[in-house]
Amino acid sequence: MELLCIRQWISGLLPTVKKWLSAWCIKPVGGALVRQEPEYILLALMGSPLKKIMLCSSEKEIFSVEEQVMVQHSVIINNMIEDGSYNHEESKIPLDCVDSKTLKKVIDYCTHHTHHHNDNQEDLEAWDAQFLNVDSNGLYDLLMAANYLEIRNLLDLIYGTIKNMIKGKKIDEIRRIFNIKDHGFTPEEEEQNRKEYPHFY
Amino acid sequence: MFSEGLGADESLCQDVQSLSVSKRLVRSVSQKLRKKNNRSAGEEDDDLKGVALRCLTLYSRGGGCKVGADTSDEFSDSNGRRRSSASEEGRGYKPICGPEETAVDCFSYGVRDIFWRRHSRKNSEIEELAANTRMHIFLPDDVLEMCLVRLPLTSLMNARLVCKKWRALTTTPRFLQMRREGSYQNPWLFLFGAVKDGFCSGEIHALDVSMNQWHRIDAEYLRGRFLFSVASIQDDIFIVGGCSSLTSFGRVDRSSFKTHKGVVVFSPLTKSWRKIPSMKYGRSVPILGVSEVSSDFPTCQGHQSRQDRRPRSRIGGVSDVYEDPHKLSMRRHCRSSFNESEASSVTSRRTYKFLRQKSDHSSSKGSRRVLLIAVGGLGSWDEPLDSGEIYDSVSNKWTEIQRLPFDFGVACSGIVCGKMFYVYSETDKLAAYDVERGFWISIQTSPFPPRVLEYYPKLVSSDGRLFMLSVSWCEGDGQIGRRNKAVRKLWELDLMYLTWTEVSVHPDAPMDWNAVFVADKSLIFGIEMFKIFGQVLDFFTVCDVSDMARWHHISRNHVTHELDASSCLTKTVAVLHL
Repeated sequence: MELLCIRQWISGLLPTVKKWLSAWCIKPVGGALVRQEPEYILLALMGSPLKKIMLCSSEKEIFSVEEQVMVQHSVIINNMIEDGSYNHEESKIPLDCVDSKTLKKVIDYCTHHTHHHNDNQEDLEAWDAQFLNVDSNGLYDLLMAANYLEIRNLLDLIYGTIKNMIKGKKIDEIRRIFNIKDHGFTPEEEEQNRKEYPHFY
Repeated sequence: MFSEGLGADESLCQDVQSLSVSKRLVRSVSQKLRKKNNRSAGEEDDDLKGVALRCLTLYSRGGGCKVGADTSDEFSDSNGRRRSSASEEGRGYKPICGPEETAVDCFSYGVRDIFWRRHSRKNSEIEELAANTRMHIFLPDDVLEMCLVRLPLTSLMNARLVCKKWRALTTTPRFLQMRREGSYQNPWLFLFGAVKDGFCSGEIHALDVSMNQWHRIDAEYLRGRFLFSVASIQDDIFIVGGCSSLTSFGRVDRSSFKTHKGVVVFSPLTKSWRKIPSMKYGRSVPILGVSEVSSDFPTCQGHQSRQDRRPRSRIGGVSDVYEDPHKLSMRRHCRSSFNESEASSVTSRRTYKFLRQKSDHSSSKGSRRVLLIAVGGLGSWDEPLDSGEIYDSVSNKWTEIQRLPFDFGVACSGIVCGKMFYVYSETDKLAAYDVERGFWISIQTSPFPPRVLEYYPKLVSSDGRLFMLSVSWCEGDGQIGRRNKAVRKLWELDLMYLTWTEVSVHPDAPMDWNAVFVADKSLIFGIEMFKIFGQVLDFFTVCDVSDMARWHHISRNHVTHELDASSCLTKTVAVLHL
């Protein structure tokens, strides 16, 4: 209730406030979205609790996270909120393809990047490296979650990580890493390749 | 003392005989080198430039050391002070100057067994992680594609051999398109014209700039051919003209040779060669310009009208009428329709047929139309030519274009910028060929400082801007008023107001009058090779015109230690974005 009154008050002020607040756009992080609603910024200035949204994992666990954070990173969630289909009081966003563990990690990523987007590049990269220090199952789950929620920068990060598993490695090692049992070449083709490019094997 | 080593002009001149460097220049260079050595190593720039020069001192003192070896030793302590340029990561290339041991591979696109690189902390961590992780889960194809598209070329070639599925995924046009658009490609430099033991071996040395790796490609096709010109566009390199010795095959023999009309196209991605129709005239070192145009780009076939009858000099050697009888009939044919040209000093009443090339293929996506212009060069008797020809990939034939303007002189450099083909002459004239309308325009520009005579300026075009590298005399350090130091500078021509402005100064003393400069997107690469102290040295530099245009060194002295001095003369370079 409290929140609603404040909101009405702000709406009254909005026309004058909006002008100088229009410069205050939230910087897009990793090519994601820009959320420019001045109300929320003013709320933040006033120290009121930020709007939170509820995300529900496949295991029916509920995570509460700042709306700003998720909306910046995830295209899907941003669309849902903008549609107006999400009611802050009652709704929770069901994410049936994402389990709790992964969802927690995703929220962790988004939160860190929102709050630390002004940090220098090296620190962010170091944090990312640490963040991705998971086993292949975890990486796969993260990838699927990021894909579903359309979190561009997390996706790019994971693609880059997998690319680095391939880059600079010998073919036999790549086959081992990616569990490619049958390469599909005929024995003659394979032998031809090995002869032509011995350095690759 | 170092200067004494250089002081004997005669011996030095002998060494650089083929380069015909003037004595004055040599003296100024030795002065500059001496000063560099005395200066403290506190300045950043000197870290990179200074090292090679320090090596030279060692060479003269110790006698007989391999410059390449010294370079790596020198670097081991200066690495800590490496500068970090903001532009590095974004362009996908690093001016790497760490103590790599990069030797030339003997197999095409072979991956080096040992190489180091200065990683950022993040890279090494992620690669450790990669080593420990094993993907037990099956990756969906679209994810796999997104990962493979980010690979640099050598790793991509590697990936294609992993399994059939990966090969299929990475060879679709859509994949290649995605790779091009996502800026995952990097520049590759291709060095042609290597001469080893007096023999034109037809080897192409390719430098993967981003990984700082050299590869060697054997080109049977180019064996014995020298003094050809190359031009690169998209994924192809056109090799035009050239000479080959008639008496001793493969040797760089200018006493008895034949000049080629033939043109071949080399595609490094597929390592394939194909021939396209030959030019009308045999040319060596023609000036080339290449551009990609849309399939309905109007090309003009200019014919010289009767009015354009200027006194013919011995250039070309054959009189106008007998040259092309077909032209005579064409003139009669086109007399009915003629047009006043708006050209400034090349005034000629000309008739032209306006040709609209309709592409045979239905969609514009499939075929790409390339126009290749060859102008000037030396003919069959080593005479300078003023004729020009244009090749259209759609019609697959060469057509003659209007000759160079009358008093233009010998063309020494040319480049396509926008829709114009700019050509510079040895007598410092600039002309542009309007490809669409088919005539030459002489361009009057603001004058700029007199250049060193032996060093013909080189035109380069990057990001739609026109640049020129020219060696001019500047004031030596601490010698106000006396212009006795030769400096190579990068100039830009303002295409609207036709004024030259200085953009940046090249850090190296201009020792190579046949230095080659090529541009790729917003990077300009400089390749210099010269023989000094009995060794052929090579210096590769690059600058980014969109960011301060400061020059960095890349890949020193890795290729040419086994090449002959005549490679400096015959060398030519093309750059591709692969």
